[in-house]
Amino acid sequence: MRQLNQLELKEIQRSIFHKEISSAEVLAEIYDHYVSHLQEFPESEFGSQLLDLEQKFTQSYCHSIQAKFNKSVREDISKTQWWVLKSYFCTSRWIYAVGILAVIFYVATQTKSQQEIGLLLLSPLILLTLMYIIFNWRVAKKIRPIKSIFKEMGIPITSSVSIPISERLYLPVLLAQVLIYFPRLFSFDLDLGSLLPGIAAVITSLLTLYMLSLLEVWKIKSKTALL
Amino acid sequence: MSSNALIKGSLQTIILKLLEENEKMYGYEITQKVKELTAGEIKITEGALYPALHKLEAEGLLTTEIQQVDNRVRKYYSLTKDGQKEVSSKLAELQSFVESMQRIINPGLKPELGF
Repeated sequence: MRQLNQLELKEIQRSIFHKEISSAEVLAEIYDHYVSHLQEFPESEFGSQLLDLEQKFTQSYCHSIQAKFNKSVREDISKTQWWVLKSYFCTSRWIYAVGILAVIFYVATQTKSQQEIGLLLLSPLILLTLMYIIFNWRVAKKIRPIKSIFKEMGIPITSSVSIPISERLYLPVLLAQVLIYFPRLFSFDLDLGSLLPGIAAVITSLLTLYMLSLLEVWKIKSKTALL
Repeated sequence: MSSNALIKGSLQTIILKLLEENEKMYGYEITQKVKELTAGEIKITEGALYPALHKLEAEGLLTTEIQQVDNRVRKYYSLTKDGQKEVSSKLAELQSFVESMQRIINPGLKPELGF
């Protein structure tokens, strides 16, 4: 095994550029395969071996790996989040869930004005937005080594595992915007009166459990992925 | 050289067995290990290896670990608890298949001598 020189590494990177892969995980795996393979051969065989790899890792093959990987990651994130949510109610952690719900319902009963109810509803959304910012910052930091290798590629590189989590973090914020603006658009005048604190408590509870489950998914996946 | 079509059906079992014996391995290492163990008779193609690894990972049989190696990122695969349980059943399945094949190819062979 030998160390590849800078020119050879550049040659490998150029070869991978043409495949236009955007998944950091897939890029890292293919790049590592190329380098590990080419390290086994003398400098004189570098060109022929690189060509051999090129024929194995065709663009369509790489895109197929990427598509399948992205699909399986989405399914895995859904499954993991559902498993975490179920664990709040099915295992010994139910006390944890009941505690959170009790606090939220207590706070909801103490609200005196619509502003306070609004603040209660906003609190998990603010936390989700903060999580979204920190999450994306962490992902950017983790994929920086891969980005720096493929910075000349010209297409955005991101972690495949981060996309479904990032979307899930942003989804409630987006839905809240729709819920706020939709009635205004059609001049709906809903008078929920005394029901408002209860509705706010239910929505806040659901959002809080959703947020906590996502936080746990992030924690679980950060051990094995670029998060 | 063995046919790729024959290997394809056993690829997951091969990966699981290798990972049972080696705590963690990366993609290229798996191809090299198979080549070494079979004296070059079986060559796992990259076209089949990575989809199989990703499938096993998605099924929860493998877990991954990212490590920085020589200025690049390397993805190591290792068995999960479910994966460890799956190895023996997959091996038994493969063994039974090989024994059945032996009986077809060589009808005179006693079943217990199959593998």
